[in-house]
Amino acid sequence: MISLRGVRFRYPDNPEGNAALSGIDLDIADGAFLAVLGASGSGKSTLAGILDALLIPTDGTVSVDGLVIDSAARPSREQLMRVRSTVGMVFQNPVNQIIGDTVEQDVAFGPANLGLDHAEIVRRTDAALHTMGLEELRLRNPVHLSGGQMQRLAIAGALAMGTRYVVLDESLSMLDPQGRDEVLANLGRLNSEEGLGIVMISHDVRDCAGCGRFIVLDKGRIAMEGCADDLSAMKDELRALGVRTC
Amino acid sequence: MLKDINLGRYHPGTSFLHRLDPRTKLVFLPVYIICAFLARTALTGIVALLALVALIALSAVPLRFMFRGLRTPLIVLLIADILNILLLDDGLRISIWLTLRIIEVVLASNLLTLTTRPGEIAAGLEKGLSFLKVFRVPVHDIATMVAVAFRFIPILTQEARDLMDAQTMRGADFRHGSLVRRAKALGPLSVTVFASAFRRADEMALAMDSRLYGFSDAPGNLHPLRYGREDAAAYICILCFLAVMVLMRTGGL
Repeated sequence: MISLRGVRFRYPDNPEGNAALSGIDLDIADGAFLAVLGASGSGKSTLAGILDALLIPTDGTVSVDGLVIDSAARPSREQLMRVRSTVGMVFQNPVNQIIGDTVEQDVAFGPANLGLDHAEIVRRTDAALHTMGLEELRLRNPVHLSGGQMQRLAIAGALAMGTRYVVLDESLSMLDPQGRDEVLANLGRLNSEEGLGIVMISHDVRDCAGCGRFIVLDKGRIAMEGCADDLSAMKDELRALGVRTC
Repeated sequence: MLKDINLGRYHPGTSFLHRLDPRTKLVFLPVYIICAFLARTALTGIVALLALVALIALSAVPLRFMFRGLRTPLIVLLIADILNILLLDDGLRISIWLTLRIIEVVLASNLLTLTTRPGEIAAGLEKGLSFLKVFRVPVHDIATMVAVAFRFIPILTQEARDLMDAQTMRGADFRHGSLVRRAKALGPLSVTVFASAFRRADEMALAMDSRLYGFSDAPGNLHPLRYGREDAAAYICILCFLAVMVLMRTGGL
């Protein structure tokens, strides 16, 4: 379970401006599929950074499977390691998150950084490639993959670290419809069959197929929330908050 | 000119050179460069050249890839050669040797990068320079920087090419006019490419942070480097080549 209580975040280079997040209270249960919607500048990417401990809240607490990251104290190396190996992150631009020069090397990057022994790195890499259907592409240069395959690779990289949640920060926005469907189908399967918790961050309702619950951020606050079934009945309200609905 | 850049371009294959441990190839390159500069007579020049030709044949990399990176150095060399011939008494001989050596160095470097993945070069550097860790040199970080830099070269080259095409469509001319005029046309382009490189680097740093880069004091490796019999054979050949070149040089051949 991931819990945010009274989370507020202000970027250090903007001390006088508006906070990027203000008083966010949010629970994400094990195996949940949550959609975080909102216009540009609403605080979605800041929330993604907080969930992966890439950003530490200015106020409030974040608890990831019982491990509390508190705004009052700088998190230790071990705490960051535990959070980031529990919550994986997939970014918007698929090219900029590829580090390895083959598909398998890229998947192995996270496990290698965990300091695991060789056999365990191989086991986790093979398992993640199998789960994401990338076995046949394992020796390919990732730069030559399609957008959908690159984002599947990024998800495989997160899975190989043993993550139980994956946060996708506008990760479908640069994909063509085929790539988007390919990634969504894989995410749906991982969520229903493997119990992987998914946080899908987007400005587009089409990216939320398969989600159970949604929240809409506006100016750093939760402006709306509900079940996925309610989304189609809320088109006008969503449009007013800068969310694309068709 | 952008398509001439060979750095960071790996040509997949299974040749003897592709199979060698990257450390072997990293040792070969400086040894070959030393040998190329040891050559002072026609005989030693031919020996150095033949060794390179044999290696190019062994690599099974198509010649068009191998020679791709030569155009830009050749333009610079041509200018240097003209100046040498005009200004020096022995200019023609100096120009021939300079041209030959630079071509050999570029081709030998191409051999390394075309038969070795950037990540393997980085892993080879890391393992080969691991003794520097005693002096607290961040060898792993340096190797990662090298790998990321190699990976960025084709991406930024493609981006520069796309930008040039886009600006050409809007009337910019990068191909005609004086050198100064063309350099001026490239100014705004380089600013955009630099800005993009910084943005990409920023995003990649976040992705690496998210995947715990730098958190382990002893990061693992999917394919740990191991020397094989082929490497032993290659080291013997490298040593023999060096010995022959030194002996010929000292013997005045």
